[in-house]
Amino acid sequence: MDSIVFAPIPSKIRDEVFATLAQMFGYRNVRLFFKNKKLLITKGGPRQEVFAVTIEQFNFIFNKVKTVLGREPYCAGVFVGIYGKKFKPSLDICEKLFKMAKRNAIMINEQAAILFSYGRDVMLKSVTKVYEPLHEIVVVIDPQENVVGLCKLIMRNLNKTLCNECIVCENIIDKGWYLRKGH
Amino acid sequence: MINPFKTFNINLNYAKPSTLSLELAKKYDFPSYLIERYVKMLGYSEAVMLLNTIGKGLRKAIRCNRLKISCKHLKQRLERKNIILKKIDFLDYGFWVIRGEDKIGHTIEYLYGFYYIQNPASMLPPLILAPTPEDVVLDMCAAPGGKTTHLAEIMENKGIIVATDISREKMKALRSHLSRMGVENVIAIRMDVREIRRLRNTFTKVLLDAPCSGEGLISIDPESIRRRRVEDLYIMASKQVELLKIAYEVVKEDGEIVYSTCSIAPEENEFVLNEILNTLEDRILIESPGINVGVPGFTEVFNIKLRSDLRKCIRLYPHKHSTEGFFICKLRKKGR
Repeated sequence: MDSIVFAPIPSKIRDEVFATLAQMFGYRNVRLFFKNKKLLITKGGPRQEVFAVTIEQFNFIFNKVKTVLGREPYCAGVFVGIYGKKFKPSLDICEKLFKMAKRNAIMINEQAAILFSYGRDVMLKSVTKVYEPLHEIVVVIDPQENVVGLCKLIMRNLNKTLCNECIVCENIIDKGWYLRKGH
Repeated sequence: MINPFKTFNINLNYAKPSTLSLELAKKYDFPSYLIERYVKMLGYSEAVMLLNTIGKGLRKAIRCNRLKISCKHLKQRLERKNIILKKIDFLDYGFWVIRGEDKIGHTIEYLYGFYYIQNPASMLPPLILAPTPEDVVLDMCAAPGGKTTHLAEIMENKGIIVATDISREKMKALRSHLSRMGVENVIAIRMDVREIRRLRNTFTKVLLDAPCSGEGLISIDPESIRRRRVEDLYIMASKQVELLKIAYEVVKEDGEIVYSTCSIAPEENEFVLNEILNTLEDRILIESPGINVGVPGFTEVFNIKLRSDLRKCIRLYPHKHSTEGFFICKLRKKGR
């Protein structure tokens, strides 16, 4: 982590980040959330992490932390995701964008939400509501619309799936991850 | 022995145990120098009350995270799980866990970031610092993030909090708590906080929850206190004096500093402040914390006369306040 450098994100990567998030939560919501924010990307580490910071945070990082202190942040603002072969959005940003967009999510029952928070996948019988349109990566929410995690849809059309016990969405990350692993 | 206190005289024999302290030390299986100091600090009967809390544990408490949920809603959700809360007197969004303490760290509400498990004493420093959304705050020894997330909540996730800590493992915990609690306004930096002195006159507010002996954790972690010697208090105090001087250097004129420790040792608290205030003369002053909790700081202890304004500081004890032993003091850097 110590050799990692925070840099302004190249426009090509920024566009890819915004495009992925816009597909998931809609262009208007993404534009609204990132208004007056700048994106930073880490370089030099095992993975490239993307963070969204306010203009004030951006100026503080570049005018004080890097210049005067000669240091790099450990993390800053909102963790947006990991950029590799393609961009993988973080649970943090998906939670914030879902609250604005109310789309690209499946609601599961209380018991299933607890199991999901322990790393389990989602079975069709647990799904109580679908927030269309759905992307490949969807937000999993409990009956009170609290975000439990993200999953990867393996059956695109949930209505046509007949097998109640079938796994329809594979756990990518859940809230229990904070306890089990952490950043 | 290191003596970081250059501006006032200390007779270092004050911790030499009397026969009475030796007897109590045997009875409570606790270091005699500590007991001698407690008797001199608090008087015999109150020292015994304090000693009776050794290893007894403390009631758990939580701080509701209003960035994510209303406290009323949280209370209802937890009550459905047979976890009963009672409001802490000095904080509308802090609660004692009256029933269901064993479950409080394992709920889905915890994972959702609806609350932080925290002793009420640790809820006080951010409350007393009272940052606004316009502030640029330095949290000097931030990890694992209990006070940082509290500062963020008070600031409504706006402004800037610079959170520093040197521990790699604790920084990971800090980042996880920031994510869990939905915090957006933190720049976390893993570094030796002494390097921060390069940012002179930068911050409007500084929180220094200083590394300490942990002598206030007598109820929950007596073993680590048993291992310490009186010399360790002075080693710790020299670090605390250094860190508080740095806090003074980096805060802007008219800016505020809150100094706190989870220690009841005057050597790590009133002595440290006495030294700083004497050294900086009229350039810094102690302010009232603006909250009615705890007992005043010592102005005389171990036959050592200290500054009278130290009474504005706050002390908390497990036997009196059912919290960790804790010390808090608010300071203001004078403008020109």
